Parts: sequence; C-alpha cells; structure tokens
Amino acid sequence: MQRRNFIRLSLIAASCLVFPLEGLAKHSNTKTLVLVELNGGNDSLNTVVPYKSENYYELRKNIAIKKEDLRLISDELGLNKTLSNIGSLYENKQVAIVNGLGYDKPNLSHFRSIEIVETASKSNEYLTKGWLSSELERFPLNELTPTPAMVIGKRKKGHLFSKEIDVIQLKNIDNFMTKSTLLSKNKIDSNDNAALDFFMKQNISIEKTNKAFNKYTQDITINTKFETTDISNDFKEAVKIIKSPMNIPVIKISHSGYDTHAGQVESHETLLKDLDNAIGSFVKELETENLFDEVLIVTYSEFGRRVKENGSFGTDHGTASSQFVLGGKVKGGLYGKFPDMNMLIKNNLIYTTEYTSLYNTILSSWFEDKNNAYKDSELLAFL
Amino acid sequence: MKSFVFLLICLNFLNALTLDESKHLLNRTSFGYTKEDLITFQKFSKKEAVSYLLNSGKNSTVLVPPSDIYEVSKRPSNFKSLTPDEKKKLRRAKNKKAREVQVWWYEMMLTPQYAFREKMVMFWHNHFVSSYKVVKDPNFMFKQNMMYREQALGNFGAFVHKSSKDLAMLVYLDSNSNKKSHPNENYARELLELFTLGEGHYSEEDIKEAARAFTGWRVNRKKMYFKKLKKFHDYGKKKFLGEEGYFEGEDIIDIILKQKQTSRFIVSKLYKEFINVKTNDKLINDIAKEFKSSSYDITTAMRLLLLSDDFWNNKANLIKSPVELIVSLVKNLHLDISEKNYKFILNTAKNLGQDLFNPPNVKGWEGGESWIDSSSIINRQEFIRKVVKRKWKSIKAAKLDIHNYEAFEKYFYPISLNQQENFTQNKKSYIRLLSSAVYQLK
Repeated sequence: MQRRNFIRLSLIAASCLVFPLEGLAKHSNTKTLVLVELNGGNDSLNTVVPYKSENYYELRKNIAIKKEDLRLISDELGLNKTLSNIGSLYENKQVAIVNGLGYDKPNLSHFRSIEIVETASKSNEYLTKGWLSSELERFPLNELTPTPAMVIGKRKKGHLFSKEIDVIQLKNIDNFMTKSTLLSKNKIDSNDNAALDFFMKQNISIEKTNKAFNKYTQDITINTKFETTDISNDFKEAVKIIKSPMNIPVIKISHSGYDTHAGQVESHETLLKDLDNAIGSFVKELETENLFDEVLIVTYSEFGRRVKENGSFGTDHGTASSQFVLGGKVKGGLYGKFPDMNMLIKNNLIYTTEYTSLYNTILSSWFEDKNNAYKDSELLAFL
Repeated sequence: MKSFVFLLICLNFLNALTLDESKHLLNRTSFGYTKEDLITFQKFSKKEAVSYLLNSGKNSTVLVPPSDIYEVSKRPSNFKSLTPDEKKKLRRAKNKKAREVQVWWYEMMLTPQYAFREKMVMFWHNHFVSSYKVVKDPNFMFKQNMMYREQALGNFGAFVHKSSKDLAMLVYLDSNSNKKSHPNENYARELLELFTLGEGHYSEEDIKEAARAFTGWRVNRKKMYFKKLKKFHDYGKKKFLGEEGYFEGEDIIDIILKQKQTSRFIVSKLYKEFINVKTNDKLINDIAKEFKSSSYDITTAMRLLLLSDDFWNNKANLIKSPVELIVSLVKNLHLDISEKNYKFILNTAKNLGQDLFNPPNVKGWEGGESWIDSSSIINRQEFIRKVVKRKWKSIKAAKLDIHNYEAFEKYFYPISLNQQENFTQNKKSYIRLLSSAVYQLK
C-alpha cells in the first residue's frame, strides 16, 4: 500500500476515533524530518566557499579551493563542485543554506560540542534532552507510529532524544524484521532494577515496530538507483519508511569521517560526494512519488573547522559552519549572514546565527509549534 | 593452638564469598566465570579474593603471540613501485595479522589466570584510545597493547608518559605531523580532555600551548622507534595551567599529574566501569586522594574500589559489553573454541559495536546503556541462539549439573528474579533462558 492512498483511509479511520482527535489535530501530517549529522565537524569553508575572501586563500595556502573549481551560487560564495545534486537542487530553489551557524562561547571538543548542539544548551549548561525531545514526547504512538524516531545506520543515537523516547535503531529493515521476529518474548518483572526496565521498554518498542514493518513496508519498491555506500544505504532505508504508510516524524542519519586533521582535500571531497549522491538518489525517489513536499532534510555538525589550515594539510577544530536545509517546501536561498572572514578570533569564525534559530524555525514552521522552547530566537524565512 | 586455627578457619568460612558475590566479582572483573572459578572464589574472603585478582594482574607472562607481526607490518623498501594489486595484497596480509592479534587477545581473556589483567588492559585500551583503522599497522597496535598490559596495574604517571610516546598513539592523534610552524592540536586536546583532566578543567589556550610542547615528536617508521625532530620542535616559552617555562612535552604531562583533578578523573572513570555509572563523589574523592598520594599506583586505587561497600552493593546494574557477553557465555558454558569459532566471535563483536582495536572514536566505546539499542538487542539474542544451536553437544557434555530452573538461574544469572520458568534439558530452554535480559547484566 502506498502512502498516497493511505492518507485518505487514515482520515476515515480517524473519524471513527481510532486515535484521539486532539492528537490528530496537532499531528495529522505524515511529514518526516530527516536529520543528517556530519560527524567529526565538517569543514564547511571547503563546502560553501567564500571565494571573494583573500584571507581564505591566505590562511589556506595548501587546501583552499580555487574559484574556477567551484560551482558559484552568489557573488561571494561557491559550492564544492562535488555537490552536484545539492547544487542543482539549490538552483531549483529547494535548498536553503544557513550560514554562520553556531553558539555562544564555542567548545572545541567533539563530544561536548555535539552535546551542546543537539541539546541546544548554553556552552556551560548540561541538559539531558535533545532539542526535539519535547516535541517527540507529545506524538501519539499508534500502529503507524510505533516510535516517534528512528536512527538509521551505524552510529549511536547521540543526545537528540530523551530517555522517555524509545528510539528504534536499525541498519536494514528486512534484517531487522527477520531477527526481531525471533526475539525472546520472556516477560520479566523488573524487581526495581533500572537496567532490566530499560531492556523491557526497548523490547516492547521493537515488537511494535516489527509489526508495523511487516504490515506496511513489505511491498514498497524503490525505483531509483542508490550507490552501495553506507550513507546511500541509510538514505535508501529512510525512503522506504517515508514511502510506506507509516508515519515516523523524525529519522536521524549520521555520516562519519569529517574530522579531517590531516591530508583532507581528497578525503573531504570523497565524503561530500558520497553524501551528495545519497541525497541525490533520495530526493529523486521522493520526487517521483510527489513526496518531496513532505520531507525536510537538515544537516548539522558539532562545529566547523578552523579557517587556518594546520601543518598536516588538514584543519583543526573550529566554530561556526554553514549547513543545508532541503525539501519541496523549502524556500531556497542563503540565510544567516556569512561570518566576516577578516574578523577571526584565534583563526576561528565568529558565528552569526544561533542553532536555536534553526530549531525555532523547524519547530514553528514544520511541526507547527510556535510556542516552542526556542520561540525567542530569530526565525529564518526558509519555511 | 589447634582450636585457634580451627577458629580462624571458621571465621574465614563466615567471611567467605557467597555464590552471588563470587559471580558479581568475576562478572565485573574477569569477563565472567566457569563452574570451577565459582568454587575457587567461594573459598576466599573479599580481601583474599581481591588480593588474588590484583596479584594475578601482575603476572608478566602471555600466550605466544601471532608470528611475524613485525615482518607483515613493515613497509617494503620498494613500496612505491608496487602495483595496486600488490599493495592490496600487503594490506590484506596486514588486516589478517590484525585479526590474529585480536584472537590472541580473546584467548587471554578466556584464560583464567589472565582474565582480570586483560579486563584492565581493555579498560586502558578504551582510555588511551588508538584505532587500527587509522594507524594501519598491526605491529604498532600489538606493541601498544603489550605496553598497556605492562602498565595495567602499575603507575599511572609513567603510563601517561609512555603512551605519549607510543608509536600507535603518535600516529593516531597526529603528533607525527605536529610541527612548530603549524601546530596540530589533536593530541594535546585529547591528552587533557580524555586522558587526564577531563573537559572543563583547562582552557583552549592551554591546549594550544601544550600542542607547542609536543611539536617535533615523531615515529621512525623504518626502525620503529620514537624520536624528537629538533627542526620541527618549538623551544619557546609556554604558559600552561598557570605555570610558565620552556616546557617540553614531558613537563606538560608532569604539570598535569600535579593536578588533583587528574586523580579524580581517573578514579571516577574506574568507578563507572566497575561499580556504577552514577558516581559517588564522596567515595571517589577519598580514593582519588589515596591514589594521588600513592604516586598514582593503579593497584592501590583498584584495591580500594573493589573492597568498597559500593562495589558489593551494586549488583546487576551494569550492562555487559559485547566482548563481556561473548566471553562470559563461552566461559559459563565451558566451550572449546576453534579457529572457525573465532571468526564468528570477531564478527559478532564487531556487529554488536565492539570491534577490538577499532573503537569508534578517540573517546572510545561509551559503554553502559549505549551498548543497547533495538538493533543490538536483536543481534545479541541472535548470537546466543547460534551459540546454543551450534555448540549443543559440548554444552550437554560440560557437566554443569543443571536440572531445573532454579539451578539454571543460580548459575547463569547475576541476581535471582523470584519467578518460575519452565526448564527442560534442551536447546530451546537454554536459548529462551539465556536470551533473558537479566543475562545481559553484570
């Protein structure tokens, strides 16, 4: 059963009060937010390149990308040429590039910084919930939404969620179904043991998801060719879920390898190419089904990299970065001021756009929650 | 006199570890237990048991390592003129050797007199992290692993110094390309953040200054030793953690070791590994004081931790790591492992998220609840199912003397569940009961 047919059916079902009207009124959509973590700290200055800046070429004598090697997108900025799919989508006005994303008093540790970005905490504040958690905790679970979020691929779920959310993690749907069918049905009284409770909760979530997969994803076919890289596989699984009648509000995918301290030119371009191909096939498949309007892809990273290259033909940890937002509903273009390339602090950029602005925009305009925790941060106009 | 000795024996008997305590101690320190291990430990008092483990940890023998690790790892002098196919062949040989080193390590974890030491090696492998995927040299990884074994229960200060000059580490954290004209901060940052002080106890400026002190530290790949290259070294004055001087890398480490925070950071990490992920700051501070005043004697810290009430009161609230699950199952079932089985074991561990010598990043495996997600839960159960099916004959032959559910629970589970389950001497029962979440706990 394809999703289009199903939307109508589910409305009828809803009128029979299969699930509460209140929940339906709030989240009747079948929209999916796909978060893509560029793990390790993407060198966004070699992704969205400020080719007018002399300082860029001055500080990156060995690794800067020349203007003629870029896909120019404005009088000042050019895309890394490996981003051919994202580049075309940008020209179709379906990509927003958010520049200068960061937060106050940047922390340059991978582990701490990703925690700050994913929990939207202040630099010296420790929070246990991701920026999306409150939104996801409110989603009514039902047959079509056995879990509010899925993490696809090899990496861990990170700090995006809270303990209350039983996220499903998988690499491959078919594999997940085969194995979880054999899952032990032993019910244990947890004896007040938190570790046992934790297992039992996970088991329930797996069982429900397995049921939904069996019922709704079996006959989904993919028409577009995907590469066989990990990142393309992850996007391929994601598109299966989106095409199915299931309604999973958030899917997280991670792409690892961006910690390019040494010999970065080639390795960074390979990463971007793999990512671009994965997103390219994903969007193509969505478009053939007219589903691109129902999907929002957002990239993020713990930080950008230092403007000044190091002695190993690589870059050390930095601060602000540019990120991509893609979707059929996105008003393409440039958002957020590009950081001043001549105003650096210890060779690092000064951020111009708070991560919470990005979050407020997504929560207000995608999840229609104008009263979210970040409502005081400036809205970006891409939605 | 006779009655006095008798009294001592009785007292010792009163103090002896219970079955539950023996399982607890061995699950947490020795990758699980066999039936014989449990009999041995139930004769010990807590103090004796801990001393026994700590002494065993200082055993300096090892199983015979794989042959030709050095030869396979060495880059041939004509490397540049090799065809892509020939290079691929070399790479394959190296990967094969790296797997052999993994098997060798598993064999030692399975050897009772080495188990506790290997648990400590694993702890340090996950502390001073390097990864074969980056280092690409089985010999460097092997040598690092051997060094961790020598230092596992020794002096932490000396350990930090040695690890800073360890060849795998120099490559892994880019010290090898750190030079005066363009310092590379990778090693300096992780030294402070992950190896000694912990996040929040230094400034970005401290990292930059420390990185300068480590410039010019190099690996001589041909002769496989550490050296300092003067032309790349920054001899200038450095300011670090409030001190100022013409510091070398060694001085930076000595300044770090002066900080109380270093002892707290290490003890707290040990506490999380061996006792509870929720820390008890009072106890950690007390032990950290002793640790520091013993000039960082790791055995001292471990003795205090393992003899603390916290250790004995925190039962079955930690989750077995993939390697612990695998090794404990093999031990519990008294299985003989063939070469073919090791291939399965290596793949399983990797699939469950713990490929030895390949931690996911410089922070190592996060451990605890992070081992468990929907995908690892089903993969863990699949592993247990396959083991029981494939090894059923040897399980039956193992003479575990388990004839009812109560006996099963007593032997395999870290705590009693106070519930009744059906049990028959067959594969099905073993699969069902070993698949229970409680068996995943330690």
